[in-house]
Amino acid sequence: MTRILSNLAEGPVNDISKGTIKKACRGDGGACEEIYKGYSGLVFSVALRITADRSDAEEVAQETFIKVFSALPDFRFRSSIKSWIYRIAVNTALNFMRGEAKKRQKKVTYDDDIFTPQKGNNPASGLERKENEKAVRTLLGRLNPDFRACIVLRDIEGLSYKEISSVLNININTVRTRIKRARTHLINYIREGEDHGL
Amino acid sequence: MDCERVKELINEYIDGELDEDLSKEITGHIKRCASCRAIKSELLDEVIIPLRKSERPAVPVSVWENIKERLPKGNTREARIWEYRGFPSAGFNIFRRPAMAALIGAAVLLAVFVPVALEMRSGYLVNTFLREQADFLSYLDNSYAEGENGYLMNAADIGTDIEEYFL
Repeated sequence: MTRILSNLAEGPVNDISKGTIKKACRGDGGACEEIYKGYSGLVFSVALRITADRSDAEEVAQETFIKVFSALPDFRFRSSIKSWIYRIAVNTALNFMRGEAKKRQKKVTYDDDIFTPQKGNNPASGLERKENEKAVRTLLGRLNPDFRACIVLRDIEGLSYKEISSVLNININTVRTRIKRARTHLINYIREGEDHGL
Repeated sequence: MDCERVKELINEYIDGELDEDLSKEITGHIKRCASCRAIKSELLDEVIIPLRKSERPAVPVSVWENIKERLPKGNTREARIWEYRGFPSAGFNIFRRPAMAALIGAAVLLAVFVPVALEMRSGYLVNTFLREQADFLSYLDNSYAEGENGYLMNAADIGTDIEEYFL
């Protein structure tokens, strides 16, 4: 713990300062809340895009942050805290999809009302936004969770192939292949209405 | 560069994942080739741009409320030494406190060492008894060896000595 805390001696880690992380390691509620506020948007977004269900996404987001705060003293700063949180969020969502959703024999369908955009971050008009969200739901609904995670991280979250490789703990060539196959599958679906499954 | 090669690399090209020279080569090809230009436009317009335009959803307030309730108290490595994660939390939190853990440890030590101490004490009594028996036998041997008038006289002495010993 001493070594970990000495690593936190100075300087910011992305937009969350090392001081905040140090306090969160000691169980400071305010510091935990600051980390939550910094990353809850991306965690909930990833969870919602992968699970396609609002209540499942809430559960995944909660589990993600419990894991984050519990494992924070073990965080070694080999990657940015943002990548680390992405990794936990995506893995939690994928495991949820493989486990709980499978048990329930739940089919992934994107309901129209699951997406409520963040306030103050809505340049598009209501109609345009609704149309776009409908297109996004259609596209993501055509992909299996592993391919969907790659597309969400690349096209919605804007991560590079290398970052996606680190977050998903897969080879960068696998990332290239998944993105290419996913987009080809989506284009074929749009062109011909074909969905052979992916 | 031919069209097949461009189709092969079009996703990495759009995502900015190619090196500068290869990227320039593809840009040059797309300017000249209407078919590859159409493929790029279709990919951007139908798939990539809608996804990139999508907005982050608002996070429900209940998420943080639920997390707060489940946050561990004193989330340090030192604090976690006292936690046994397999324990259900309700009703067992008392076992996670260091003072309680020390108390339980002391009780365990007492439970182990008290019987051992008693055992050692009973060993002392046995040893004392055996030593006295040995002294007595040694006394009998010496008494027989030192006798001047034979066995019977000594046998008479034995009875007296035994009585004296037990008195």
